[in-house]
Amino acid sequence: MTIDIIFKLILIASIFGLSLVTAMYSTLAERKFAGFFQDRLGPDRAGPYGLFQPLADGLKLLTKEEIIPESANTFLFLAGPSLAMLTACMTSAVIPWGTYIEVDGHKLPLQVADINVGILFVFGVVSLGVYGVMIGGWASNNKFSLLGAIRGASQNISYEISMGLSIIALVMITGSLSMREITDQQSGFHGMNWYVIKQPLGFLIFLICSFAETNRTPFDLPECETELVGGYHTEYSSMKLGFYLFAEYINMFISSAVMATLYFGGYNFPFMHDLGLSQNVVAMLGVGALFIKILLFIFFFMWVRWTVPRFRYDQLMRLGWQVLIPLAILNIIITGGVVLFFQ
Amino acid sequence: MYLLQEIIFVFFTLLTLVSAVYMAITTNVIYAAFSLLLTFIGVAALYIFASAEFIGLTQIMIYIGGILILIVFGVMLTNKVGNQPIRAKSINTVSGLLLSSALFTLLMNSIMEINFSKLPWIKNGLMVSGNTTPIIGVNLMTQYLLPFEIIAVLLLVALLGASLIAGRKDN
Amino acid sequence: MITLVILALVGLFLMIAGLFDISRKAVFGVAMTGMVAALAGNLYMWDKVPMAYFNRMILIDNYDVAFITAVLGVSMFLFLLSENYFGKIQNYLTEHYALYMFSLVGMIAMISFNNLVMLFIGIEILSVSLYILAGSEKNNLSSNEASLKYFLMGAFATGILLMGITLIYGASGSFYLSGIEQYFTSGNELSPIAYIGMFLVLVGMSFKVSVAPFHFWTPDVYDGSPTFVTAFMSTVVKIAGFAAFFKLFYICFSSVIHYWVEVVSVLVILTVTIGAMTAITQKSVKRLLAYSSVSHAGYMLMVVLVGADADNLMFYVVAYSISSIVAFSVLMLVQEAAGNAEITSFEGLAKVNPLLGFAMTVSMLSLAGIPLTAGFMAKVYILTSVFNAGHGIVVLVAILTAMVGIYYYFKVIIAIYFKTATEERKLFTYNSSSLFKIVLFIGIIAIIVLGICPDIIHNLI
Repeated sequence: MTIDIIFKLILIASIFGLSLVTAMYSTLAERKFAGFFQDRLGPDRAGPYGLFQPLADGLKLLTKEEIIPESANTFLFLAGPSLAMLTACMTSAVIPWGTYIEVDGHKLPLQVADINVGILFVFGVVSLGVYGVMIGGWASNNKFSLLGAIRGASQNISYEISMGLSIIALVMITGSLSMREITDQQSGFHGMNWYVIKQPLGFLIFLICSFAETNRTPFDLPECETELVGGYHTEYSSMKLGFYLFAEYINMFISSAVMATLYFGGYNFPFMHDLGLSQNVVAMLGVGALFIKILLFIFFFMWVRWTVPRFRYDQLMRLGWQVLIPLAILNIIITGGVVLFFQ
Repeated sequence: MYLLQEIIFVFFTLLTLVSAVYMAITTNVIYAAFSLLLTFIGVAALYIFASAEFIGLTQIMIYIGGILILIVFGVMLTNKVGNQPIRAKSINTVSGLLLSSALFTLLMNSIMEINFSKLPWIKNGLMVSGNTTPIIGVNLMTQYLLPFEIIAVLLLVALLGASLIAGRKDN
Repeated sequence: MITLVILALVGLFLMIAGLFDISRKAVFGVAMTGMVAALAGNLYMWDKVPMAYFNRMILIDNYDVAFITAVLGVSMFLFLLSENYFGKIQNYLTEHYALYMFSLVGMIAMISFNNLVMLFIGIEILSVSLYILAGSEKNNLSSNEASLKYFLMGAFATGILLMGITLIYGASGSFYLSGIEQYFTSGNELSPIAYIGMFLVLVGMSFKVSVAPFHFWTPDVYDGSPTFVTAFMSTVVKIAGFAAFFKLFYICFSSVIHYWVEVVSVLVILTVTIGAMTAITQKSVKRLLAYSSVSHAGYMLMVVLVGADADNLMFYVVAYSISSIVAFSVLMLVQEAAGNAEITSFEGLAKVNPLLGFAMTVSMLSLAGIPLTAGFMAKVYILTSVFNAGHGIVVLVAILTAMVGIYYYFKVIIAIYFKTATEERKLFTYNSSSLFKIVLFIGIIAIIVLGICPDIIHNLI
């Protein structure tokens, strides 16, 4: 009993730490990649290869002057970035980071909470995510912020629908809403029975929607600097701004993790059961495999950001409502037909 | 463990109640909308306590992720006329208080008098433990198939109506 | 069941048809054909063994067939008198038709329900369509107001109804009518939530059928909505509402009638009195008809009070609906010509257009309950059964208010026959096609025939 609890606490702490570190270094990676794509060096002054750059950035944000606009609603103004950060971190609770490790005969699953409606939890938290943007944007009492917030909100609800529909097709195959069960189902065929093979269209829709949900280019209209100054965080400074920026990277990390888990086998890696390794080693290798997948997705996010231009707002809405939703419904119908055919 | 559960339960009950009351008495519509958010979260948590995880999370997804966003949206765009924030005044406080306290007493009294162990379906419900989601799914597709299908008409009507109201005006 | 499916499909078909450029006549034809087909499918079920569908979610016996026929027949009658309304809709014509079809789907689910879930969904489909239809005149502020008011009150009533259904489920453990009936007749001690549930359902249903003191939305909503929608709401919808109301109380709660009979009789007395008293001061015929519909709801509620004799309810709703629709269709024409619905607009109508004047008179007589009209026989049947059930005071109040009613209905008749029209009004043309005239004439005949030999409809169930 006690060992379980202690283990859970360690797990929570390490997942939290890992998300933060990944997010931190994602900011550096983003700038490095941007440099690469634009044929320049990127940050390289702080430490070797600019490795201390995130620390320097953090320090800078922490020590900046804190400004709360006079006409802003102070409580909500502070609540905005905190909520953004909170919701960004919440999803990691249901993601299975690895199978389980054995200590003293105890089986300790590498997952904080294996709830049987895990996918619904992810969706619930994702839908909460928009509140950070909305509250912050409104409380700033600034027209640009408000416009950014409204854009963010409408974009989020629009894309949530197709995201949900694409997941329905997946759930029709898995027959379960538990993240762990879905991952375990993908361990067949030498750990390569990934759902992306069975659900290519569903994955594509999910991927596009995750870009929209995380407000990443080409869907970054809520913070589109050419039109809205800084979007919803125009009035923010110091660490509150840092929270918003940071939340975006954590979101990216988490949605990469969700995609890797649902469609790319999660902690399963090729030939995982054929190598004859002990359970603990396999588990640790699984965690590593999952992280490699996540990092690849994060790289993909950045790759897209520095190559694809931003959508216009009407294009974004048209894509969401007139392309993705019909496609997702089509995907459901096809999946239903195929499932029925093979029954 | 039991104590911990009790504490969490009381926390969410208080969250629901306090935020609901605050929503009712505040004159600032934005605050009302955001305290509704807390109320919904509290209710979702209570559903989960009643071992209805599916309902609880659906509550979060639909009410918080959909409906409340639309409410907040509407409030944000309309809560100021010129530079004057709209205040929602409370009217009929006395009669409202009387009516609601009468209803409260009525419900409270009857809840106190219910012999829950005598209700047979509660026992049946307790026998279903663990994952209720598949059971809900199967029931929707078998016993409650007709309501499930007819709700499609309801949603279609709502959709149609929304587009009708938002669409072109007659000249 | 087939009725429900046909209507839903016709609604869908109409929505898709809206994508293409088709003529108004064709749309009207499709809607009418759909309703005729639905009616045929419904009548086919007459006098068969009661049929249950989809795990007894709906159960169709003669009671349901009769009321569904009434709903469909009355709405067809209304549609045939409606060219003026549909002719004026510029945008989204097919969508309007589709909404009417879907609202009929809701009504059928409401009438033939055998499970409270179906009742609830049926009421919701109906209500949501009506919220939209009430506000369909978008340039008219009072129509917008009607829509919003109806929506807010309706949503509130839905909440109460749902709470009641939940509590009844909490007590009985069943959504099925038979299960609830069993619980109430089992003779065991009833749980307190059963009573509260029952009363909340009573309140919720009363809201929906505008029984006083839950009628406050009615005048504004009926007044603000387009007149055709008002006619639809106060006739077709009332039939469905009371069919469901009666069925629910007759099957489920009749064994505990002593708990609610006093409450319902108070509601009845309040409804007939308030309806009649507030109608006196009205200057607008539309508002007058709105209050009169409240007071007629009181009579229909009497059938629930007696807890028996569904054929009385059937006869009453049909008599009331036909009379009301005739009145509304004349009102629509007059309103179009005069620009308002005031009683003064009717002055001298008999000279300018005798058919319209006569139709209005007959319908007013029937609504007032004057002998030789359908309305009279309907009142006689109901009051007799109420008297036999031992509610003398209710009968007394009803007769007194009926006498008050004669006063305000005759105000319209006096305006038609004994006032002269202004020079300006004499020049009004009341555009109506020959189809309209024929159907209106049939309506007048029906009112009189039902008043003379009521057994055509009465005693059917």
